Amino acid sequence: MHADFQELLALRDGTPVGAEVGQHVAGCARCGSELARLKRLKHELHQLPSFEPQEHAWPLIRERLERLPRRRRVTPWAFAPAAVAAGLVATLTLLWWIRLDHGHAGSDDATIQSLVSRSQRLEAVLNTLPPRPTVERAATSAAIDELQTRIQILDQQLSAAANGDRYQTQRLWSARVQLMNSLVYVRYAEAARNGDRPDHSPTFGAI
Amino acid sequence: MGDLDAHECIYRALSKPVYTLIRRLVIRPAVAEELLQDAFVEIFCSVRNYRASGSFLGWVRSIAVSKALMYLRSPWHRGTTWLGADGISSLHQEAAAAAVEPMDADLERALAMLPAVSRAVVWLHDVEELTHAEIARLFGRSTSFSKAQLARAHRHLRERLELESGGPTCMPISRNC
Repeated sequence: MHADFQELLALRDGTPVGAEVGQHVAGCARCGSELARLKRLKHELHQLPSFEPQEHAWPLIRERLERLPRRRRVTPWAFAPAAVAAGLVATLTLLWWIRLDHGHAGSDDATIQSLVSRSQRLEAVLNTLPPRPTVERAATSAAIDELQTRIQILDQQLSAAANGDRYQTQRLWSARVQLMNSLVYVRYAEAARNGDRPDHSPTFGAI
Repeated sequence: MGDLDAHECIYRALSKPVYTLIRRLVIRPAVAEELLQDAFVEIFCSVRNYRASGSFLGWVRSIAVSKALMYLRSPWHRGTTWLGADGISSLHQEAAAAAVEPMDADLERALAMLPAVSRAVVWLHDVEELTHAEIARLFGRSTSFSKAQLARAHRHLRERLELESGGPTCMPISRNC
């Protein structure tokens, strides 16, 4: 009884078959030649040429990747640096507020005016930085979004407190300067990483 | 941008074997190009989920094969194929053979004219070296299915190659001596 295709293929691939099948194929010219043909065919299949994808395939894949929502390309741990940065900013802001609480008596128009000026200078520095890239690190993007949101909230509070007490106004402007400072740092780092190194480094001590 | 540069490196290193694999399964170059793009977008979107428990190429290959098999199972593909009793369409055979270059490559043509499932199994097993268990998992079937498809593919290949070479058109292996 000759071996069938499944048995011959099993023999070819070295997988177990019945002992009687192996003995038969070893002594049967017809099955032996069929086994040799199957081995040859497998070798020939390996030798078939490879295909090259078209050159335009990568640009199309790249375009599709760039169009994907940013969130789909990141995992939760990618936000860890952003969370740390946001936490640091929040802590600094809180410490600043506490310090102001203790020095409450020192609130005056000159101090407020000084904070407003610093905030305006930081805005000016921010405007000189290159536009944000279309693709960037998720952590950087999240940190910038967080800072901008906090600044917007402060601006709303400043509008509401426009005719309120000076102490409250000073606290808000102080917090705004801190946040603007952080934002300029992060945006500067972002621009530098993308090769758009600004002409000047942020020297906020002077601001 | 760093991610995209890294993605391009991965693409340049793996696109040829992945494209070859897809081309062998679906035959048509235009479809294969599209599936290649789909596969790499999927790979890059889920690359962080890759666990180094197996080879990276193996993981990439499994995504490419899934894409190709999804296409072969899709109504769009089946809608263009008239399946006969043995799963072969003469219309589909001609289209597949026409896509093979050069036309005098007997094995290429014989392979292209196999039914899609048999062709996929023979390629995955004999060239990509997947086990029957791995093939069965990809198709959602049993290992017996994979073994039967492989035997069937080889029977078709032999018949086709003998036809091409002008040899005997039928040499069945009888179980009787």
